[in-house]
Amino acid sequence: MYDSIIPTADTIPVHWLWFQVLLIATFFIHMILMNLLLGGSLLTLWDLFTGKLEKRTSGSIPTLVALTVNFGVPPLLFVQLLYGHLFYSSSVMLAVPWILVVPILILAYYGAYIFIKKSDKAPVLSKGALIFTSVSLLYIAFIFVNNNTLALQPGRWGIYFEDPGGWNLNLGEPTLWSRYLHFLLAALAIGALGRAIAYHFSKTAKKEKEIQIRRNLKIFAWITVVQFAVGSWFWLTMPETVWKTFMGESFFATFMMVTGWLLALLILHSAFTGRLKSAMILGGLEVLNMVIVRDLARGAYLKDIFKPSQLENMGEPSALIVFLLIFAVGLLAIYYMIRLISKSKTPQS
Amino acid sequence: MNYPVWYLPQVGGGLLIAIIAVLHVVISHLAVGGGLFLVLTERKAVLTKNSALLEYVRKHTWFFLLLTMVFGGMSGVGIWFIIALVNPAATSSLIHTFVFGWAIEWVFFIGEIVALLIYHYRFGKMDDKSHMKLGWLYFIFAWLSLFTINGILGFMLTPGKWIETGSFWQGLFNPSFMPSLLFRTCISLIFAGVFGLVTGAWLKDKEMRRTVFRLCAQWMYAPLLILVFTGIYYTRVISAESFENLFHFNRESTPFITLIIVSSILLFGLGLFTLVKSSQITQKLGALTVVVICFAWMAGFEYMREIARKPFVLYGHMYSTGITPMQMDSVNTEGFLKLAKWTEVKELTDENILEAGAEIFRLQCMACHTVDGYNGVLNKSDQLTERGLVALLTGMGKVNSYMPPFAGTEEEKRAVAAYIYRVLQEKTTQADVAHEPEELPLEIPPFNPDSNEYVLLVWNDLGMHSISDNEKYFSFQPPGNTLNAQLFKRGPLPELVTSGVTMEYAVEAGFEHPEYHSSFWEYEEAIFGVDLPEGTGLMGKGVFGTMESHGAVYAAHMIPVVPYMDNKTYNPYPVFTITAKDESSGELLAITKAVAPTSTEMGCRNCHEGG
Repeated sequence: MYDSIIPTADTIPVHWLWFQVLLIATFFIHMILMNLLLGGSLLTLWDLFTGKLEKRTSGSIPTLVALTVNFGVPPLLFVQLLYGHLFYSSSVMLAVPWILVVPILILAYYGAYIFIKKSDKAPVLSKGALIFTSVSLLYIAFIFVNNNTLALQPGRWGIYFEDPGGWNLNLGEPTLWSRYLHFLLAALAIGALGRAIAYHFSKTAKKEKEIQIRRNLKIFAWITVVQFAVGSWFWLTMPETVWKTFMGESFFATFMMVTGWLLALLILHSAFTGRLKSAMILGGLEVLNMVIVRDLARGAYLKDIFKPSQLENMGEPSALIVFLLIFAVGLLAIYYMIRLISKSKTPQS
Repeated sequence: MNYPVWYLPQVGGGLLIAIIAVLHVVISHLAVGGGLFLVLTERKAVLTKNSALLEYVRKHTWFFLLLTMVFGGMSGVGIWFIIALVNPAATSSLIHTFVFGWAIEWVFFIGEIVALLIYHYRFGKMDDKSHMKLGWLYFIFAWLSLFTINGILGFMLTPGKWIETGSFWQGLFNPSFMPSLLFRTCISLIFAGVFGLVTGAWLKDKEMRRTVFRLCAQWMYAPLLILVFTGIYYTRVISAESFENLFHFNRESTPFITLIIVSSILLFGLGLFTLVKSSQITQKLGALTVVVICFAWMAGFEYMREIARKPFVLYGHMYSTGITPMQMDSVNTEGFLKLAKWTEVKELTDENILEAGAEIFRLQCMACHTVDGYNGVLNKSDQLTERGLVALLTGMGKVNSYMPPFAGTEEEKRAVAAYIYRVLQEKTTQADVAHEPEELPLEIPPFNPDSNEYVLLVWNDLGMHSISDNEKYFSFQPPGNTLNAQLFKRGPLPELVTSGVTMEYAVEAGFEHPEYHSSFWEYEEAIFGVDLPEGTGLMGKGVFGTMESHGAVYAAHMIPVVPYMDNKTYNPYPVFTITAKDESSGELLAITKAVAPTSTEMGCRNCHEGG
């Protein structure tokens, strides 16, 4: 085993729970946005090939790229605070596909703009750009799954010595494909829910609006049905010590898992019956629940290796306080900017 | 030592960081100054009711958004990714020290994104005042973002009191914070002007192009003077060691100092085309050329910053190798292999010396070097023997202050040298084979014991005068052999001649110009406090001259002979011809030759006891 090569973690400025809470909160927002982006792109692609493209929802893809990436920064920051020594090590092992995420993301972002800007003048280019963007997003998600799973299993780190050149994917990981599929389907489900919400607020004719909301809610519901099977597959491909955590070994983990299943059942009910508002709330809660479950699973994986509570705390809260103040001011500024839009209707001279 | 090393024998992680960093840093500076450019140009257009200029701002906003938000934003994430891959220990240290600095910067960045998206998508759909408020908010957020990142970047070069206190605030507001902030703000304004030319050159209306070009020229040249002063201010706050490494010791910096000087001249020289009437195609080409020059300029600047930091990645806190100065004692005592995590060789034996050397090379040297690519070890070590490599590794961090000290035991050091020499250079070691020099011809002046009235004896005062021969870096001994001579009048009672004689000396052909082969005469004033004519030694003697009588001997002190000949050969045994002449008649009394041994192969331990 390669436990002896696990790097020593650095000290953190304040109590680890601060970072745990910030990680879950910001990762939740990132997940919602990522699901809307990836699911939305794939569903738009589907619509494009079946001739049902609706510009109203697809036009937001570039903005979603910007927001997804930017809201991906804090969880990536906080995860490095708590698990950086594991994460950096796994990143080096798959350095080449990992660093390729950056140029591919840039091209995918430009692709999203080409898709919306060239849809009338160059439809073939536009379609090609959306295919490229969607495939790129799938690639990025796949590499993240590889890296995140490898970071949790120092026992597999011996692959580094076979190829220190950074070409190692974690393809031998039993949960790799079930995990990837589970997250992909989640993206499609939340993407469909997001489209239903977008139609709700759109200026589409009432009848068409209702049809589209029902259609997207049905997609949301049916994918949730499939998730019961895929989620179970994912669960059972995890090591025994991990899946047992959710089967009574840990009360909180079991409670969260059961809550997740119940929320899914409620989602089915509200989505199949066309109740958008409750589907939206339940969908959001389900994502939050799964983010917490995911974090608990990480804890179970690392049970005998590392706990964030082991991190030495320097007790320097002043920067945290300043951050929280600036964050509040930032939120106010964003609120002010959005209000500027609604208040200002006069065309520019 | 703590983290795995991404093995990149040809490309090298440093080059990858440089490529991504240069691209990102240009665009991220543009993102700051460009924001002010947008809102001020919009303001001008609104105040002068210039709809064409307003249309230019609208178009430039779209170009600006695609460049800064898409490429700039994403490549910023790219830098984070690449530094974590190439130097995870330093990245982890930066993240853990400044987590709330990064988080604060993220808040500013989100503010930037929201402001820019609204500014772009609502252009022409809002009243002017509200729209310009968004422009101002964008600029404020962008500059605050620079403000924060600038502190962290400055910390890497000048951590100041943080080294002792570990305080977040002392790390952020470090000694180079202010000069760097002013310097970077100036750059951002200049880049705003440069990139403004690009959209300007593509405008269809000729007059409008001229208007925009004149406007952009103001942005390019107005901050120039402040830029120069803040640049000087910047160099004054870095440590003396950094300054010396950057501008004197580290040869690696020369091409980048040249690059920054040349690109500055080109940028501000070619930039003048903005003020001259020219065709649209010239304007387009000119605009694109100055943009390219901006990237070259930034490459020079970023590399200089990098070199100034050496041998550290976080100055004073962590060496480029990811090892901290505090760890050095234990690593040198217990052994690098024993303490390093990511190696399968934990113990050095006679059998695994090359394998161990390879592991240490990967975990230490490859933090900066490739094998045969950028900054490749093959090229840098091809003139060295295995023993020379050991000496080089010993000198790291001492004589060679821009490289971190070798971390490990003496045996581990020899293992690295063996790996470089035997495996990478593919040479067999010749450490035990003594060099057999070719005998040089030497014609001794004839001496007839029956007829010669005088005998002349000459000797050098040292068996070997070793010179350090790298005055640019240090000086142990300057060139300076001392020849002593005694003239005897032969007879039943031999007589030592101490006066009435002119004793001349002259070096053999090929050694007449030591000043051509030594940098001694560039640094003698700095080192010894005297300004000497070229070719003259510290006691005023050249390689030709007259000896003075010093009682029992004639002597010429500190003759500045060096072991390099004009034909580029190395000969540590230059021969002098010494003639003794009668002072009044000029008659030749005696002639002889003597060797003045001098060598640059200074090895104290060859003659002196070690300890």
